[in-house]
Amino acid sequence: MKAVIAIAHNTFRESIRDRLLYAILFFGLLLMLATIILGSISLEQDVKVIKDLGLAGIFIINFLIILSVGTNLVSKEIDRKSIYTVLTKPIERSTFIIGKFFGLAATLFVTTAIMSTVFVAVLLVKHAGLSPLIFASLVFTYIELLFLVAIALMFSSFTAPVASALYTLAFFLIGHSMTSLTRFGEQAGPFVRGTITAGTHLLPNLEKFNIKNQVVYEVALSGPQVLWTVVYAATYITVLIIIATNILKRQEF
Amino acid sequence: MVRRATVWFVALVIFAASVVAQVNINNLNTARAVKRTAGINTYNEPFVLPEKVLANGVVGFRNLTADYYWLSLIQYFGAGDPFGEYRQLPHLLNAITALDPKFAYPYTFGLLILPDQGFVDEAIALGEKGLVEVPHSWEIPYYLGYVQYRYKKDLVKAGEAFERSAQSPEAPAAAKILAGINFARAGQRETAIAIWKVAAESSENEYTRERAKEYLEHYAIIDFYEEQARAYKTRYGRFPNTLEELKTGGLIRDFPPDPVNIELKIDPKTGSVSEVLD
Repeated sequence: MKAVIAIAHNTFRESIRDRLLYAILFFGLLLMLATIILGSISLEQDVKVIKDLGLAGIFIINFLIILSVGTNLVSKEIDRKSIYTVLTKPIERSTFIIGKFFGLAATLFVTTAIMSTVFVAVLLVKHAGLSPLIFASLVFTYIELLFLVAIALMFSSFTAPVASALYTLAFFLIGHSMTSLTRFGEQAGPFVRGTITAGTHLLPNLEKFNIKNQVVYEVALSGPQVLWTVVYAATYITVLIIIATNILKRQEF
Repeated sequence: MVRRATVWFVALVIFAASVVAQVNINNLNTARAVKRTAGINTYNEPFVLPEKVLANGVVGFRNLTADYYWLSLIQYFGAGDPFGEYRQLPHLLNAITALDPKFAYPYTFGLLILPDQGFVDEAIALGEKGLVEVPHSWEIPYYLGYVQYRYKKDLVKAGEAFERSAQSPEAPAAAKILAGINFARAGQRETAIAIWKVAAESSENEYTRERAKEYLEHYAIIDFYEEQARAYKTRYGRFPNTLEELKTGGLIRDFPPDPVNIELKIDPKTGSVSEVLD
């Protein structure tokens, strides 16, 4: 456990020293403030525009951080050969992967918290009202980001950063296309329909975390919806970490 | 030292050339703008992806894309179309409501602006989609009723739409008056005025209220012309053949600006003024 915390702490320190992170975060904060301007030219639809743009902005900025920082979490250590100094110590490879995961998760928690604070402040300034759904959406966004960290980490354990970023992006696009895929499947023959149905159950379904529409139109979340979404994320992330660990175990250093 | 100065000199010459090129491009565009319509220089017609592409291609950010199209639509309609066609308006509204079907105001907005741009059927289709997607809204059936009444002259469908609007729990008390009107017997202008009075007093949106006030002003101008036509008859023994005769006959100095810009005509037999689209 101590080793996990040490690796996580180190990963967190390393990522917050990255200048790119500050550049991305700066643009994120600008985006939050820009919601006020865009909202003001929306014919009184400002609250909707601010909520849509704010929630999407928090996700996009953090996703960019994952693509720039998360996708080279392991490969950078391999390239710089710093992984040797870690793995020569009595540290399991699973500990290394879990530590990396929690390190980036902590970084994303900080960036999400900073941007969410500005977002909430903008909503308060605009007298938009703060429903619990907004906070629920922020939590769901963070869970989706953890999901993507696990995907990025898995790819980072065996591919170069650019390829890893592209694969993570592809999984993001697939993960949000499940409704369309299901619709295609309904129009296809039994074999294709079966394949697509299996695919939609096996591939990560990121639409489960997208409750932005419910936030904007104040549609309450049900208890089972929250519970099953959290269970889904926790189990899938665990599987991705196990896969990443096994890939790393097969590698010779 | 000399070499460095030469590099700087060459860089300066190239920069000056780029400035000259840019000025020439600007002049070309200005000349073109004079030949055609003012504003063409800065005009960008919004590009709207087909609905099928939007339905399947926009992953994860459907609301955000709908907002982007909504802001584009406001810029497009607000800045003016130098060709006067606004041909992308129905596509933009369809895209917005396809991406975010619960976004209520685009339905109302479309019902308010599309008919005057010649898109009556598109406005009705949009309104009917709104009835399904935002069933609690009182404004969507209300303006759908107006479009049916005013542009389609379908009194039955207009009555049904106003009835539906009045039944909405969110409808203001004034909206219920419309549900009780016998459209077949009521005067067309009086009915239109009643419709816009409710909108001006009860709409939740400032743009809609302003639009309603503009229509009320438009009908006040028609009343003014009819009053002047009667004065014309007293003076010349007949009603004027055209509205222009009110000016040449010395009854009015200038035509009051019509905020909704609908062409008017006068009936030389009765002196009544009506809209050309009637």
